[in-house]
Amino acid sequence: MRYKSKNRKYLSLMRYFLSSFTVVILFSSCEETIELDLRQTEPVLVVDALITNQYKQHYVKLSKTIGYYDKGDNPTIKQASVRVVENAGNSYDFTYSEDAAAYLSVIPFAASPGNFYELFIEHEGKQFYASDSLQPIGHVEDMKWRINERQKRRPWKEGYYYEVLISAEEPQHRKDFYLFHFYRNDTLQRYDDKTGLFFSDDTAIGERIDNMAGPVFYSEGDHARFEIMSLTASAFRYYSHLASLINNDGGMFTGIPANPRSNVQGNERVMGLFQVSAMAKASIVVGDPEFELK
Amino acid sequence: MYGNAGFTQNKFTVSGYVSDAENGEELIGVSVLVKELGTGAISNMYGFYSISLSPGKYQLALSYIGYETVEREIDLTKQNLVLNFSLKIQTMGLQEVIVTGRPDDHNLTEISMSRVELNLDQVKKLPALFGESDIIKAIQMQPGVITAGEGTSGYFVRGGSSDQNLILIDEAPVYDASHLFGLFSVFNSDVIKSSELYKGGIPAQYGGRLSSMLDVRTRDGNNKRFAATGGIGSLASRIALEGPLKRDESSFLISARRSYLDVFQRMSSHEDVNSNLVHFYDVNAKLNWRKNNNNRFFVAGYFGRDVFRFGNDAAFGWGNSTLTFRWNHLYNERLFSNLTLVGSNFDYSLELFDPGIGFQWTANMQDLQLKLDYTWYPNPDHIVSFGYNGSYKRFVPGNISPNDPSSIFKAWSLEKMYAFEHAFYLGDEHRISSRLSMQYGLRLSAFQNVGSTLIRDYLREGETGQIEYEPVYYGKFEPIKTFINLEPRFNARYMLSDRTSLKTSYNRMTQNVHLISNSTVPIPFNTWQPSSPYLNTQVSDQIAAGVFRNLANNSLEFSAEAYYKWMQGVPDFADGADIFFNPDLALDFRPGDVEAYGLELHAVKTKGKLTGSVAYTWSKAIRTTPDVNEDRPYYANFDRRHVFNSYATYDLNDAWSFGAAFTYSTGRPITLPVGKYNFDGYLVDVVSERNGYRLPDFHRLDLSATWKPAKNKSRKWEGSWVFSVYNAYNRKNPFTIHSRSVNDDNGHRNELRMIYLFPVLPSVTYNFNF
Repeated sequence: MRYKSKNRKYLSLMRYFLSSFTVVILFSSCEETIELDLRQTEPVLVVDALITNQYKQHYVKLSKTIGYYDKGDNPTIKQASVRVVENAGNSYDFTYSEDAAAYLSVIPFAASPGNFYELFIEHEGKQFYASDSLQPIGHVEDMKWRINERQKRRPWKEGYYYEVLISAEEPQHRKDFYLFHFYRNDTLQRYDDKTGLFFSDDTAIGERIDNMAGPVFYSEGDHARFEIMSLTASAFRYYSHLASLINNDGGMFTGIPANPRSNVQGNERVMGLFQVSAMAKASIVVGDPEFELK
Repeated sequence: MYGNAGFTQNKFTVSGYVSDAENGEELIGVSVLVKELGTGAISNMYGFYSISLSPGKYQLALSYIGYETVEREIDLTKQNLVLNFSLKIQTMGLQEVIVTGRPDDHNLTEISMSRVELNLDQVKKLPALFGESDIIKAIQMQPGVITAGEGTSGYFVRGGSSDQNLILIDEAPVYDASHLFGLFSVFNSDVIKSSELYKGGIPAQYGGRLSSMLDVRTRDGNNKRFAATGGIGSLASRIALEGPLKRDESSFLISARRSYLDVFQRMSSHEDVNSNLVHFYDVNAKLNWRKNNNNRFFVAGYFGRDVFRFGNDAAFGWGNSTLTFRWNHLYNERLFSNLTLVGSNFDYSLELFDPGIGFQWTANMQDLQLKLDYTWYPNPDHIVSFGYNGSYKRFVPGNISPNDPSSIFKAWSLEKMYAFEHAFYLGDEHRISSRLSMQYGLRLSAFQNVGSTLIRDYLREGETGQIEYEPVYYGKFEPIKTFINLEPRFNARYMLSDRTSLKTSYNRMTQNVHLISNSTVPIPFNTWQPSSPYLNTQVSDQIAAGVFRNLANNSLEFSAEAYYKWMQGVPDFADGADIFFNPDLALDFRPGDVEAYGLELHAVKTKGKLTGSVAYTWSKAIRTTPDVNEDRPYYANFDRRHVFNSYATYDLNDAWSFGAAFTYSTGRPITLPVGKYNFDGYLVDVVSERNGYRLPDFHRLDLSATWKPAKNKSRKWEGSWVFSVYNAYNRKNPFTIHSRSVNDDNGHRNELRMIYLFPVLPSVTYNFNF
């Protein structure tokens, strides 16, 4: 639950209240899973695209929404035409790859700081457009591990009580927005016992980030990787909306659930995000004495 | 000979205060009738009355429900008279009459409509959650008042949001009336003397909020003898002490209440329970000094706080404190004045204890007010009121500071904001004929957002993807933006017969402080903001009309009221806005329009062994806000089509009385998923239009029994037991429904979860006084 913006911190406090206070103390609040007869909306295009400063074939995933109670993944769109144009004049075509289940850039490239990128999608005669830019990022100075004694007493899963600690610099002269990814053995950690989406702006964050504990717990020998990505204000807003939606309580104490504001536009409804990010990363093997925080 | 000819010439005045003979409490709303003329006066909020009459001899009759009627012949042939009255509680056989209050046809004859006065004695006998009787919960049972759900102290009046309710305790504003997130309110029912709610037709004297005013006044304190009242409940206990400092002249009252959940929590062997400590307390204190008839002083204070601590992980809390100084001064028999100085503070804090991300977040707001209210009684046909209300407000929306040297946070604050508010008003309560009376007035309000502060002048969101702005600095008290509004108020009452009256009202209200909340139920961690370059004044206009009829010797009161209300500038936020600690929140402000209308039917039985109230409300509240719900209209979060509330108490004999309360309402609107998709590994809902669904209907029955053992004649001690059962038939009323992601052996999916709060809950409270 840590690492998130202050919004999430607040929500976690609220949840503390709702769960500990209401359930335990009032010994009265109850929660149960229910099935409701829900309407179903027309399928809508979903864009999930990420261009980074890493030199590689970048991806654009296109799919359609499905009904709330539908089983399986939402269907992938394979017949669209996808292109990214850089303000420096370069244009990159994307083609569908069955292996990646996504459109990949035909040639590898790296996005450059300060540059501006536009995404053009054409599907079933309809056009969609989005733009984003590459914001700079510092580097991860240090990554360590240690045993979290509290977790060790009551681990969420047997053996999982190691946490990683990150040190980095936060440039103070500009407003920055970040997205964080934590990997355990190359798997991005999104769900433990709760839904985690880790992002932050630099409001109230000081110049030095020293040994800040990550939200994910590891067992000895796990390979831990940390990525930090720069976001534009609009991409940050998207993640902030996404987090409010994912962590919604139905609008009683949190805001009313709403679809996140996409930066993709089109002549019909569209969801998702076109994200351009600079990325910095670090990785360690948990338990390796060289990286233990002493 | 008598009438409007000349306002004050050749008249003499009889004036004075009316109080309770037993404890000296000033009585509000006592009818002082001049029998020869069939007209008279009503004692005001401070127990004062004044009647100016042509020279002559008259018969005065003072009546007040539950008190013995007093008749007195007065001689006004030569000079003014000052007459203070002490009324004695009527005793009927052995049984004490418990229903006291204004004259029994007051609901017909008063010019005000859309006004509810709570019968506090009855409130104490009604079933209550955890046995803690609460006037806010009783307010929520009134017609035209809607709740978002049980266990919350927010309420919604005639389509207005909950921050549009002005809540006053001894004339000081209370910004958050909740304890334990709304399970209880800040009002300790032992010390309350009167409480009334205006839903419309609000007199020009009051302003600042759009939808309602709840005026709570605490008791003066017994100035005849020392007395104590108190209660021991299952969640909290309370005690109030009062007595004379100098008999008949000055008195004190002090009361305290504390919850003791934390005491039980500490006893638990379960770590989640015994390390999570929760409590609240509040204290009311008051000094009252009647120097003479021309000068009466009073100081009152309220201090309350909630404290939550979750082991060594987190803590939070909030509290209100208010201080009121009041001076009632008579310039002469016809000119009554009230000067009030009020200071009020609301603050909250959140703290996370953690070496890496530990922080403390505090926020508060203060309000300093000066109120000058004058009432002039030129003759029995006019009561003219005028005055000034000024305030200085300071808003501290958030300070964050690291609470550990290695925390990533730095000390940082959101910009403080300041404002001046001035209002001048003039109103007249005008008796045009024996049938027709009107109350009209005008309020001029001026709100000024001032420095010192820094305003962000936003530029277009640039291609860099950064939020760009020019900081504009304003010096101390330098005006930033001024909002001036004229608010007309009008009420009229026409007596069709002595049993039936028709009333109508129109009022415009404005509001310049705005609660920054995007949830259905406001939480204490929501901050307030003044009107500013990015937030305009909220304005509402309301017209209402009603029929009032009494039957069976005024023991049965019926009313039907219809209203139409439209509001502009009601703040909302763009979908998904992050309202916490966001220095650029102004970019997400979206002022919207609200249209609300409804019909309220109310029947009240005020006399006899069985007393109670039955209320039915049909209403709609529709909002339209840019960038919300794709600009289309949507139902307000608390829009409930049908609401039926009833409560009753039955006094079986001296020892036993029984109470019951039943509530039914259409489920509140809710936004639910209508699809889903995968985004970067997250299973995300596609949500419906805002408030496109409704929760199931809400209904609940609560029961109570009060047992008063026979009093030991030789002792003053009097005790009673209140047994209550909340949710008697154990209805599972959904509090909310939300969607969550589950990723387990059965795969990755989203599911809907329904939360419901209270099952059948019995409780016992012991109340005493001596």
